[in-house]
Amino acid sequence: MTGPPSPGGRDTPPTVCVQPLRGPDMSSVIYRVSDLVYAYGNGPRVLDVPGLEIERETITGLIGPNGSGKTTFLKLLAFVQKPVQGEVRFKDRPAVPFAEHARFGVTFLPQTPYLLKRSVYKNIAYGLKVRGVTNDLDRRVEGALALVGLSAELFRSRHPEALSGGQAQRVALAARLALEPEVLLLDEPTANVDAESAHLIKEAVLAARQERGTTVLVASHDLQWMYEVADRLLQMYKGGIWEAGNTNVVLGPWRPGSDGRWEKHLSDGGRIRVPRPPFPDASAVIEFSLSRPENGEAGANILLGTVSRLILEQKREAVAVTLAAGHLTLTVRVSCREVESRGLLPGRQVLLCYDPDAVVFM
Amino acid sequence: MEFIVSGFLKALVLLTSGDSETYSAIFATLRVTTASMAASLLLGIPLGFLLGHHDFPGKRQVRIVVDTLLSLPTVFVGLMVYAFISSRGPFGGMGLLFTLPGIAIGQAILALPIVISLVATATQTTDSNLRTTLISLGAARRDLLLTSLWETRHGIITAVLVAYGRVMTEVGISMMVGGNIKWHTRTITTAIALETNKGLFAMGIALGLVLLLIAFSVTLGVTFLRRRS
Repeated sequence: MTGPPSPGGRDTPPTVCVQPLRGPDMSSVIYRVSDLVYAYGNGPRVLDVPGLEIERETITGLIGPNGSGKTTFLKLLAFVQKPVQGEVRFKDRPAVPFAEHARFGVTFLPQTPYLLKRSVYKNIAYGLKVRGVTNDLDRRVEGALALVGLSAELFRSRHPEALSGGQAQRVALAARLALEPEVLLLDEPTANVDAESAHLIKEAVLAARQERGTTVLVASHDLQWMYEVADRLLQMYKGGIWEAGNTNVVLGPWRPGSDGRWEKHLSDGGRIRVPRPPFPDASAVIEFSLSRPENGEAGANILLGTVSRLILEQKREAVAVTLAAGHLTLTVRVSCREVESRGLLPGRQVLLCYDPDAVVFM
Repeated sequence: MEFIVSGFLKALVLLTSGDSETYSAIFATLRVTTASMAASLLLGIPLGFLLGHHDFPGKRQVRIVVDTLLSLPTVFVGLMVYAFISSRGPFGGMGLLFTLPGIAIGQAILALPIVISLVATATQTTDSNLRTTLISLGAARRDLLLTSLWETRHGIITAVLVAYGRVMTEVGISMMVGGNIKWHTRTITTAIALETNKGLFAMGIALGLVLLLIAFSVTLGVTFLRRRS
């Protein structure tokens, strides 16, 4: 099991526990990441992943604010760039950009895809030709266009400048789906496209997983979609990564409070109490829950929140409850049964608990 | 004004009658510019791509030097090439002075910074997602290089046009290195300079018209290529 970042100072990156190794032929793990670090030049680390495994044929969602490292992480998994430290093993073998065993297995769709200055047909056929596929090109190109809801007859001869943003995004996705990859990495595939394009993109991604067993990693701000389809959700923040659950990032500033604790004052008068942060503007990773911890200081680590949204996570038979606490938006996960027993509905006020001693700063 | 009109009329006669002296200069120009362009493109396109695409220590300094060389004075290039290939120079034994290959070397030196600089600019301004896209589609290093070059083809065509215009119209190198020898190293531009000095405008105008015609043909060809690609 994976968990939220372990308590520690600012330099302690969040850890995702590595699962035990299986036999190489039997391994259900397609990616194994260890001590992965990325930085631009001599700058600070923008990604720091001590350990992570991705199972085959799963959909993994990456969520987190802009600049949290999602794109960098996807690029490293796509072997588009090299880490400054650490290793990404693909199918139990270390892989780097242009590695033969990974080159044709992994494909990545950037947030703003680049279409080659040639027809839609040639754009989609490019990756196939690189793989030496010469037969059946027409069928595969047309099949890929159909997957993203574009008519081959209408679009095959069009050039990128004659496509709308949504159509260009779908053509770029078709160029990846035509390759029938083992791993499909998607960076905000539904950002900046209309609702219909977004729907078709989502359908095509699901079809790839269901029909071909493609492993999918997708970074998206579309939490509704992520909660619905992802087998696993990973939260990223400031280059760290951990299992999304009841863990929330609360930004500073923090002010000195009573008995050595530091506090964040919320707009509704509530306060979050934490140990002394490394610096006043540090971000705190805090695990909230709806039940009061048994060893909590009465009243001191409780927050009043108002339920604003409930999203069913079908894959995990859980419900993500979004709450407003002052000006903060927090998410906790509860079982479907708990939603029912507590009568959780939007607008209902609930008490949120947290353990100040388990807070991690980033 | 009358002598200009008369010059134009005589020029048309020279061109239509196939005047051998006029056509000797035209063919010399075409041969020498073709050779110099071929050399500058063979060297300049890969170097420009490297300069635009790769990061290496001292890249900015190299770029400044290349951009400075864009305004190389042709007489200075002529002087330096002359010094190197004259009998006292290090390459004097190669017999290049007062030959078309000698002029071609000078013109290639003139065109090279133009090709490098414009190809580097074209490469740099290509979408940064191109590399990511190509690798993620499975491109090997060779595919990456060739496709990236193909994607910058419009920039490369512009570089060819600008460089060709520069070598086609230069006088200094052709005059100093070629010596303006009739039937041998006399090019369109050196012939125009000479004939004008002699007060013979007809041949100068005829050759000037040919220069314009060549420029027009090259532009037309490039436009056609751009539309096709």
